[in-house]
Amino acid sequence: MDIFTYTFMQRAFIAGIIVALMCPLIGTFIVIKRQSLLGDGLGHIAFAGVTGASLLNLYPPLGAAGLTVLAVMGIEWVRRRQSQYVDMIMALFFYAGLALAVIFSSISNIPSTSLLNFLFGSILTVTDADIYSIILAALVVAVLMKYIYSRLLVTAFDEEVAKVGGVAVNRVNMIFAILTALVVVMGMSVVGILLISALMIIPVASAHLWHVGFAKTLWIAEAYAVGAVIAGLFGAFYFDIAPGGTIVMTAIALYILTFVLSYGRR
Amino acid sequence: MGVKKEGQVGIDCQQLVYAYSTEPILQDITVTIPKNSFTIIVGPNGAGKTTFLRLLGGLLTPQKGCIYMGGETVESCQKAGHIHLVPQLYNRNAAQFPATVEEVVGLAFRMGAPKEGKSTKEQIHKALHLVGMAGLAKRRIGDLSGGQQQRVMLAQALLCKPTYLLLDEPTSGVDMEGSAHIFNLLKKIQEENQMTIVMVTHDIDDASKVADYTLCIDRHVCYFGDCKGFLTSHTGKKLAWHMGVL
Repeated sequence: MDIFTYTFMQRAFIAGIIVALMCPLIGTFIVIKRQSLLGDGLGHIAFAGVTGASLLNLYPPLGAAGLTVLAVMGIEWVRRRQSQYVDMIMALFFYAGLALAVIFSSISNIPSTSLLNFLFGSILTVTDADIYSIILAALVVAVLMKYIYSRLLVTAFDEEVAKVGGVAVNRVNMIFAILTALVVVMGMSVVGILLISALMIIPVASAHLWHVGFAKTLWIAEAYAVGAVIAGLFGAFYFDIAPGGTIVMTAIALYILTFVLSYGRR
Repeated sequence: MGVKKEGQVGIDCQQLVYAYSTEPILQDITVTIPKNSFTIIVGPNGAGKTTFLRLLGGLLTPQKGCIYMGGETVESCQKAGHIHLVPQLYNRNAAQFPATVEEVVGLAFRMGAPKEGKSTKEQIHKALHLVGMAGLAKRRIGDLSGGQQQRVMLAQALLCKPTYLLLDEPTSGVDMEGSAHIFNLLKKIQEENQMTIVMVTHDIDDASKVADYTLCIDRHVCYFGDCKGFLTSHTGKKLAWHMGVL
């Protein structure tokens, strides 16, 4: 096929598929922990990291990773102390992130096209360095998820049952929050800061429609995410449209299709 | 308040004080619950029953006083996996949790439940069979009624084989027949596995038929002793009348 003769498309598929595999792994837990807007908000903070790093002449994804991880640790720390108002605390951090991004971008001289690339993704311009960063981040996420998986599952089911049963709930939540931040930053180049949360949530939402057990839901969500990225990239290439938006719209189309097909199962 | 002195100490609470704000919800709670016994905690709303249970589970730390479980601190019991909590139904994420009944019960192994000779799947099905839920193993937990969800949680507790099983109103939202079944099941589990069960309940009448001891709390200990004695005591009659049991 023509599409695979282009090096930039080969890179796009590699980066896209890796990110697609990581997103539902995190997204499944985000959904059951009822923090579906977490990824969205972390995107705002990642944007502040990108603009801040540009101001300091640093590699922007590094700035995004640093600030997002710090913010997510802060959110987790405050959440433990004020657990009744989790959504309010998250909103506070997210607005601060967006406000900082506006300030940083106004005093730095980042070209607006670069900013748009981070906001809406630029998978077709992914470099080798980006691929290596994505692979490294994916390895860290995969290894740490394997390490905390059992405890995270119990914690997601019921934090109090887990804590009484001897699970170090705070540590597990903190590691998971950091992994979420890493996946948000990973996804920046694929679908962009504004849409990364969509790739975490929509495939999981589609998988939920099949009304199966947890393990199957996770695998189905992985298949939806990879399918959306592959189909989205094909669509973007052949119709010459924005890949980030196409990937997300493909994921939404898959959700609608699943909703119709699974109607009788509910 | 006659508690038999024979047997080992299960849970020893000495002069516990706990306050959410300035006014203590629990004041000078001193009680010794015998090992391998079934104790129900009763009292009016806002009396501190759930707070007391949360102190036993290590979810809260007393501002004064101490708790020992079999001579160990709550924290070390937690770490050793000796305690298991079955929380109130409405507190739980279960209804939305995308897991089958057997997956939920299987979470016990992820909390360190002992794996016996047979496969974990067999162990799960045995536990489900004991609580009368074997036929619903493949159903999603959220599709079950409140009483069925509670039985699933009991099957999970059964696999964990905790030394101390704490239950917070396990029969709230469950009909009378279902409640009686759960209480009988708990008694059976307690006797077969030599557990110390502490359960907060409003079903004084039915729970008293299976429990060994009643602990009545109204910010302080109003009564601790055998269940029959409680129901005939002035405090018991007053509480039962207040709750519409008698």
